[in-house]
Amino acid sequence: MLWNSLNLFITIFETLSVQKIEFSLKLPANAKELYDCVINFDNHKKAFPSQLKNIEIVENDGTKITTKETLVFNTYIGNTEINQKTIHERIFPNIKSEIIEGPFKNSKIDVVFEEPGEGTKVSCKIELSVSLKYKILSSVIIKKYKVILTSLLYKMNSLAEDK
Amino acid sequence: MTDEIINWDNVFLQSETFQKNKPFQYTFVKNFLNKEFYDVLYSSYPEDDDSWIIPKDFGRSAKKRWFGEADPNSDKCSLDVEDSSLNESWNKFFHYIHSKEFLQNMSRFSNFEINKLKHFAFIKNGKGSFNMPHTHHPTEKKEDYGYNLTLLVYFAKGWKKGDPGGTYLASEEDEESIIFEPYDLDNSCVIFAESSHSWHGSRYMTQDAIRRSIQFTLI
Repeated sequence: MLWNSLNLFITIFETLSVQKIEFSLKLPANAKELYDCVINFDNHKKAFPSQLKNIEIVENDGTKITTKETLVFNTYIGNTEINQKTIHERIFPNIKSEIIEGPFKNSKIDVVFEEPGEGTKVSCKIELSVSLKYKILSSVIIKKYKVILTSLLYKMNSLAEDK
Repeated sequence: MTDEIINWDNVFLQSETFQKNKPFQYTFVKNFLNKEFYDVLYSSYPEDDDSWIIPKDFGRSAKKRWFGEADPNSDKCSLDVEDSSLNESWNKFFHYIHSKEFLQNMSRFSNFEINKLKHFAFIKNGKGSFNMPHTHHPTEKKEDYGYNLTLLVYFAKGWKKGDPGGTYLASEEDEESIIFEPYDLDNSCVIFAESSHSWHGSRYMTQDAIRRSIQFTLI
């Protein structure tokens, strides 16, 4: 009885811990060129030398790429370092990423690159699942995710346009 | 010297707006500098050379240059120095913003006790530049702030209404919450008070234009 109640509590708590955010951007670069810049993970490290301490590809079958990365978040309680593993499924115009290890395990980031005439419409959907340990930071982290993803897209757009 | 450099009448006209604005204190001053003085500063704004740097912060992309040895990241940040690579007018302006007259007038304008200049930088934004929404003092107690006022003065002619690049002010850490964005960047100034929620930034520039500006902070 107690065990069931505890499990129910944990399930409810974890459901409440999932934060969602959706947004879109219109960028001037060609959709495929922008897509290729974003899926090149070496570009991420160059764009965020302080926030992305490390990123390495541990598996790549052409469509699915698994990366292992160390992120640094500057939070109210100082710098927090996070190690995680992510699977990215790449089928143009989509990149579907799912975090499979780390405190944000089961989080999903879907990005779609559409070409409505000139430029690219980038639609982003983030579903952030936060472990109990990081629950206190979840509202900060979801906002930071939007800022970081937007900033990455801006920098990749500049890179794509410079090609 | 009162109006030879800064149009103080224009600044004081915005004093009440600044003090009453919400969710944090801010205002926008047109014709901030005396026209003749502005024209000289405009035509001698420093050109690109080795003294400009591109900060590696994740949330921004723009070029910066310090005034002589007054590097904002060093213990010389507040020193009233000379920059021999700049002309007499730029040196005069830099000395003036350290002067008692300037600091007293800014105290009168803001109703804050302003005692000195803290940092100064030339900032140049071009195509591809941006600055994600941020605050300078997200967690510190008011009494521990490094500075209390930030000023951005623009030296960019022909800015089109609606074009990104001017420093916007926002109510949250989100460009969707912009409450003010300037488009007249020809001799104008954005002034805002530092607080934990003084969100500001500049939208991603997609147009071929150069936003030349200076930013300085006061405490």
